[in-house]
Amino acid sequence: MKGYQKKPQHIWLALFGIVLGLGALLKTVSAGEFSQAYIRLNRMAATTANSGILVVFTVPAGNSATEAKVVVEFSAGFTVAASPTITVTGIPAGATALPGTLVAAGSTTTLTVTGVTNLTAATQYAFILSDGVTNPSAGAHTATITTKTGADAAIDSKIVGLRVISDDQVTVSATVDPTFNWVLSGNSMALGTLSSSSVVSVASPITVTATTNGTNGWIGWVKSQNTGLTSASASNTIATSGTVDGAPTTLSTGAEGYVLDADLTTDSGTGDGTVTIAAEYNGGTTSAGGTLASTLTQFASSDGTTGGDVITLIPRATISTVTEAATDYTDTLDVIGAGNF
Amino acid sequence: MRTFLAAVIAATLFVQPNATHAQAASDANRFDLTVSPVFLTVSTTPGSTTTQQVKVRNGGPVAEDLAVSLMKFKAYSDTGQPELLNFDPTDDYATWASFSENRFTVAPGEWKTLNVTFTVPPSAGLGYYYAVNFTRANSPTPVAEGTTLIGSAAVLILLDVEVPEAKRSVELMEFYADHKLYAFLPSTLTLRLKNTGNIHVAPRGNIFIQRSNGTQVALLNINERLGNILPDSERVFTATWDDGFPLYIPKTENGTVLHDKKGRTEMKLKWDFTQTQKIRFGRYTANVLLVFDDGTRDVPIEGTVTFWVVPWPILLAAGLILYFALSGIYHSLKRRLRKHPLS
Repeated sequence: MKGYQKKPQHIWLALFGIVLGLGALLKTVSAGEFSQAYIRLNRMAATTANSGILVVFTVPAGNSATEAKVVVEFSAGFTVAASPTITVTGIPAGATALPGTLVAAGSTTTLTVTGVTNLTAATQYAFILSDGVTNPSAGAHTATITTKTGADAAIDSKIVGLRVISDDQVTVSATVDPTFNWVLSGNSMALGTLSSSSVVSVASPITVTATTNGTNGWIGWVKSQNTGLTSASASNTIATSGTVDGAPTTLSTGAEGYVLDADLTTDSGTGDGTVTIAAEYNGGTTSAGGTLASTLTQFASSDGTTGGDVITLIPRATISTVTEAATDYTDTLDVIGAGNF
Repeated sequence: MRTFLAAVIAATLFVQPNATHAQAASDANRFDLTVSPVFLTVSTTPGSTTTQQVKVRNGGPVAEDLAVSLMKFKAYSDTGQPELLNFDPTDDYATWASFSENRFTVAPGEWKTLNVTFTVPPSAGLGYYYAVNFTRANSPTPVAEGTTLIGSAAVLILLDVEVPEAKRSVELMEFYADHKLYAFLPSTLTLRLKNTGNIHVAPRGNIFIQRSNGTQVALLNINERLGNILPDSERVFTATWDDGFPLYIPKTENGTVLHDKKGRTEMKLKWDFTQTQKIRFGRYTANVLLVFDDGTRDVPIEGTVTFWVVPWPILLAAGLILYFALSGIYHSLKRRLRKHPLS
């Protein structure tokens, strides 16, 4: 019976202890302290002026006083200008703009915001100082945010930590190399069987694509190793027609001839360059093209950057009725490209 | 039926590898090189050695066995563009340049860096102009009954061997607008400059466009890209004043600028009504001011050209609207007076 009487006492004592412990663990919110507060400097570098300090605080539940001002006291070393600029534009989403006709005034390390109207309990408020506060030397610092009545009695407050460091900026650097890209879609073009009654053009011409971020553009040159279609077996050359005179040459059926036409397929709209086909190789018809020389001759160019200009090279040829028969008429063209200086 | 379908599937399986092989062969023949930088400007002194780096990338699908060679260039007409040439037997400066490698292999997608070393003799001086040429080391087999192409990509190098005798001098030969009278912008202003010195030079500057009352309305850049003019050659630079309403702009289709049968860029009139404050009207003066470094100071080059902008289509349309409006009012009043004459 004795043991039975002791047990209820122990239980009540234990329960009382648990309640006390829980009470100690719980985050008690005093009516005199913000439940949350922070200050975000927009520059953390030592002795640097800020241009957008964010002040945020949450009025505790149960607050019943009438706020009229907010005071921020920075620790020694900060400098607050006499008339800092205050705004509620740009505060974080979810925060309420500090209400009232706000006027900010500074004195040494203290900022006072007057004109504040009564704040609502359990509400997060924010405002921004657009200028007027200069950082101290590097180190750990603090600021105390306090709401006050019109009679200057403190209502709620909280001390927040601020860190000032020697350098708060990271330099990011990068390099873009100037480049020139030259692409030939293939390395051979078959003319097939030539005819004395028509001008034959390559059925599957090769394209040349130039791409560059070089601001002075690009140039393309062509040179013929044989200046004609040469047959080793027939010991004969269908020579290139005309001369390099800045004008294309029109082939005549029934007469031997060989020219190169350069067509502008794409003048890329990416970049600021404009393509020009050299007049010599701007054939214009299916019988015309430029004379092929044994020295490099310009066939196209551009005057600026490009994301991919495309030129189509079309060899054309015709023969006479007495041109020696052979199956090995061939020529080799050197096609060189470079960015302009 | 099943047998027929099986035969079709089998035939397809036999055809596909050939198509893939043809595509691979075609890709393997593609020549795709990227070089960097686009051009090099190098300064050195007589009797010294300088090494520069040039990079080449293989953009093709197969490894490329490349060879590097050297050519020279000079100015081509007044275009400011280079003319590539082989060295003459008397061009001793052809032997001044050497490469860290003359032949190498570059895997697909990879870059190769090459050192180009110029060993300049004590007797050298002024400018020497090279082209470093990258091409396939093995020439393709010439195709029968057709044309074979050998592709090359080059990097131009302007070598300045600094000597006291270097003379940098530029003259403005011509400065003009493409028209004397415009209805609408753009106006293209052209300068033709001549290098009357003995070393390449890169003048640059601005064109200031003013109204007749002296108010500046535009500032254009000339040769901000620092294009060089080779000695004893000319180069044409242009600038376009296109800050107006309405404005002629190039016609494009799928990102490509359209050209007419004569190769001229096709244009269209753009009406951006947020730019109505930029209606241009009246006489304008374009003043060009360029400078170049003659080795001791910046030397100015100046020129002036005038032109008119009269947006007559807008004036004509406004005039017609006003005419018809006034005409309508006049006839309306006339009818009223007939019905109700003044006593």
